[in-house]
Amino acid sequence: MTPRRSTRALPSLNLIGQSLLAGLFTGGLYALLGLGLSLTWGLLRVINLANFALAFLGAYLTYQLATTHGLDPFLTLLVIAPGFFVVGIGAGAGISALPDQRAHSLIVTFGLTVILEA
Amino acid sequence: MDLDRGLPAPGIAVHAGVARVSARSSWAWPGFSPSPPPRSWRSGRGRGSAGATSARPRGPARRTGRWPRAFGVNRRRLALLLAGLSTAYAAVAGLFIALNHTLAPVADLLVDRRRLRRRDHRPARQRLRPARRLACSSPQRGGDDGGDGAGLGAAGLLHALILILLLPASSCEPNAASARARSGPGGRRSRCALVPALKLPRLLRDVPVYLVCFWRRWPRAGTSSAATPATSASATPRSSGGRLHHRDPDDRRSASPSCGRLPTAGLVAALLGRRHRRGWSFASAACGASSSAS
Repeated sequence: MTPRRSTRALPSLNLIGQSLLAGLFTGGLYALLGLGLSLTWGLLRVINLANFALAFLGAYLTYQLATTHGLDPFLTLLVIAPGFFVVGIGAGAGISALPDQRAHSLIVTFGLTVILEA
Repeated sequence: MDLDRGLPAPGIAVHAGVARVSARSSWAWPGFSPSPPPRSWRSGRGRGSAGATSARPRGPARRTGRWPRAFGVNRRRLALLLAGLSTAYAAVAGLFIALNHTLAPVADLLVDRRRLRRRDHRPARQRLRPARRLACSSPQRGGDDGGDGAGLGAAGLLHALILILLLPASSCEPNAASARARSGPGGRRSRCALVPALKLPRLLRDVPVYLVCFWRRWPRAGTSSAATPATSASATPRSSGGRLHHRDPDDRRSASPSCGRLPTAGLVAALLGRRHRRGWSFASAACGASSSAS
């Protein structure tokens, strides 16, 4: 009886490359989210809890534009990013009018998060 | 070990530090941000107002929460710009969330979505391997394989080429003795067996192929028989400018069964083998049909 030859499964280069790219892109995604948070907190002293909700709103808008209007997802940035810039300016103007900016921005952005997620 | 870094001893000194931070802040904040917001935001006035001087924090915390007046930039505009910029960053992040996963732009290059709908997740480089999942019917597997996942999309064309090129006009000659003399005994049958060994594609792809073979074989049979009158005793070619273009209808009738024999055999074989009975079952069916027709 001949011993069965053990076959070593070589790691797929395709899988390794995809994993590396997945890590890279996920890190880039977190970097983008953290960049917005660090800007608002580090320079403006505003606790922006709505940052993630705004990101998901942008995700939904991107998906909607890409599916219903047939736009390329990367081309939707030309519409969504300036729109969100204007929204951010409006939100910043509203938050800067608050008397106690840190505490009130926490509450206001949390409420904005709830509204957006609803 | 904290003594080297100048930290207070645990216990009392920690409470003292917290009390110091609490005393410095005007509101209950955990303390990781020692500086209160700039007074211009809190009071809504400009920086040069006299009443805001007392609200400015003292000590090293003054350096962290204040912006220098640089290049005459309007601080409120800069704050609004940064707020909009952070929200725009969130929108850019949302783009990558919107895709199914963050790898989707790259993974789409490697994924054949038609195979993905069939739950066949093999990458494009492995398409010529037989599929392991054969539970579904052949229409669900699609038309790009021969029914057993062998990737026989071009086999129909190959089959037609072999029928046209590898089987010469000798097989269509009405004189069976001369054809046998050229191809040898059993040569036609061996060719018949050779073609189905290539695994015929499905019926819907076979029928046009065999129609092409009929079309290709039919006129050449008459021309070849007319061009070789020595092998055909009944052929009476009429020459017009050195070109042969007509032969007797009786000869055409006599040549028709023989030149249509092989494609007929293949068509019968395709009809018999449409339900995944391929390979050598085609060969046996083709040989049987060919022998019965001859």
